[in-house]
Amino acid sequence: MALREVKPTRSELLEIKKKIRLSESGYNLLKMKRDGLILEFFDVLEKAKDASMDLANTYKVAKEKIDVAKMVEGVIEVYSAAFALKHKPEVALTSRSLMGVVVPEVSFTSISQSIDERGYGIIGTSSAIDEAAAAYEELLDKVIRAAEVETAVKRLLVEIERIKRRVNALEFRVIPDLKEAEAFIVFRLEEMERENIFRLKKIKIKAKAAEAA
Amino acid sequence: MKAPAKKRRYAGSAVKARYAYGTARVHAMKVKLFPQETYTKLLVMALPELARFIEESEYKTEVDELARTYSGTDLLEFATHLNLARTFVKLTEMTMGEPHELIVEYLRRWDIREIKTILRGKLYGASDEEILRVLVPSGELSLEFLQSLVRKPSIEEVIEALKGTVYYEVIKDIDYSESLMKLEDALDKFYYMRMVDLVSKIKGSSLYLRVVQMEIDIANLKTLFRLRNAGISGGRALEYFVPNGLYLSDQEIEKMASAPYEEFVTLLGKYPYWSAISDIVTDRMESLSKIELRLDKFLNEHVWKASTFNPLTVLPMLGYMLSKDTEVGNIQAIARGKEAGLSEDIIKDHLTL
Amino acid sequence: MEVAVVGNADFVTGFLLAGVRKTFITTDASLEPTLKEVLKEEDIGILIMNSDDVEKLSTPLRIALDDSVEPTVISIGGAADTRTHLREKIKRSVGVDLWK
Repeated sequence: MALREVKPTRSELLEIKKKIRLSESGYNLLKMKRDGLILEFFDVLEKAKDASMDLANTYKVAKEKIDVAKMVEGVIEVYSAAFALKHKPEVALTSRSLMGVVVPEVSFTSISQSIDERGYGIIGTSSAIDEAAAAYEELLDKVIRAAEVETAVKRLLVEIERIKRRVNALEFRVIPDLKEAEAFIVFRLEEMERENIFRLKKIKIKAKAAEAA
Repeated sequence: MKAPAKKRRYAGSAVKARYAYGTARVHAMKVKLFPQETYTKLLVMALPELARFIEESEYKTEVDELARTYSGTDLLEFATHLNLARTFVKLTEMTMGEPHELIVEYLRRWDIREIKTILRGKLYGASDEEILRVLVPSGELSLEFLQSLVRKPSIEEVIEALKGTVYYEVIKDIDYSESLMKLEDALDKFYYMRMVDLVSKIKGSSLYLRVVQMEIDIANLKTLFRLRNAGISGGRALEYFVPNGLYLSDQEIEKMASAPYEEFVTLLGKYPYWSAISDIVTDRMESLSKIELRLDKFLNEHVWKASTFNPLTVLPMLGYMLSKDTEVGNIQAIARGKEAGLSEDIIKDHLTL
Repeated sequence: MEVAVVGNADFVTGFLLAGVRKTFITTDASLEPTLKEVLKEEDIGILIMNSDDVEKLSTPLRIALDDSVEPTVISIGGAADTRTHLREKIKRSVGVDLWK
């Protein structure tokens, strides 16, 4: 807001004072929101770290099981067993609001199955395949939890960034500019007031002199 | 397309001559099998070296043939299995009479595996190529016939096309709308039943009959453990057991299926199988695959013993078949174990030496 | 929406046993082109990859994966910690490396 565009009038001063009030209260609200988001963020981040570690461990176990299955049964059996599976995992992505931020909620048709539910015959298959299938079913579950929570972390981060920028803009640009304008008007008004008083005095002196003559 | 039938005509001394020729050829084939030292070598090789070794060995033909479709460890697995299949088919061509029947019957276990894969593939909605990729035609059913099955557009038509094979009657009335489980189990039970039937009719094969029945026991034991682990018991469980085992009767199995852990272990202890697994069975039953490995080894040892015991008509042949089968299984275990980065000791555990 | 897995045969096979259908087996050479195609597919909600493979990708593609919401990309296994991009972001926004 260029100073020279500011009209040094009383009404303008009132306008500016109002704007300053609004900006300052907006600033305080945004700071509260930012702080709230950061608190929420810490919470979600902890969950994400846990989910990530849980995921890594579950993967390790699952990989061991499938390696055994490939050793004992061969990959031909594994591929064949996979064909037998009835259930295909489906995910549904919905959203919910976390402090005004849209985060995903994943609903997952969880598929931990009993050996007589998967779809393959029992007599001709072995535990190696059962155990690998169970391990990967669990892994999939963990993957989905992790995906849900990591996306929440990213979304919160984006929102925190956004709010930080607005807070900074208010603190370092908008409000100072307004206050500068306010100061300018006050200064100019006072100046004009002084000039008025001075002019009036002069007129009074002149008038007195004219009366005396 | 009908399944090609293999028939032989029998004639007196020609049979004996034929048989002698067959035995000689089996000896020649036996020589080509890997000796113990080879496994020691293979265990310390890195995977690429191992692959090269297999590619330059007896398995060369199949490796070269399949190199366009598969690569890496998959190539090794498919090539060795194909070689195994062809070797066994060669055996059926070299034999006649009872040995021939026996080998053909043995090969049914692989036919059944292929039929299962095809049915599963169709139910899953896999493409023809995807299903064909997983097939290793090894049994009586030829590649062409299996391919024709794969090309059928629906599962109904695959089953229809099995008319003329022994499998049709077994599965034609089974409801697979929920899953293929009943159908697959029916096929597996059928295999064992036929095997027991055939072997009991062959003179002098009592030893081999014991082996077949022992295999049934082991299959039932594995199922027992799996069902208990999954918490499945009672009437539902009984349909998963194969009749005609060696030591485990139907009643015994029924008891063991629903007994609490302590009683289960007591009942199990009566059988020779317990010696193979007593140290790793716990009430938490965490690693069934270890138990299964031990039971398989137990069975293998007994089959070995039986095959070397009596150089009668069939057993040397079966001995060779077992060795070859074991060799392919060992190569698979070493290759996959190395691919997974497992230690030599762990891989050795999975080998039959 | 479905789950998809992209990676080499060894990585992908296990997921078949969990019922995953959309599996894409790649080699080092075909990794990026296959990945680009898969990202264009509409019905995928979650994409699973091996961390080691993610390491091999070009930076713009890695950033695209990181920002992708549909599908959400999850990397597992492997020796590398591929969440460094996320960790950097967190450091910059909040000022502290919270992800340790």
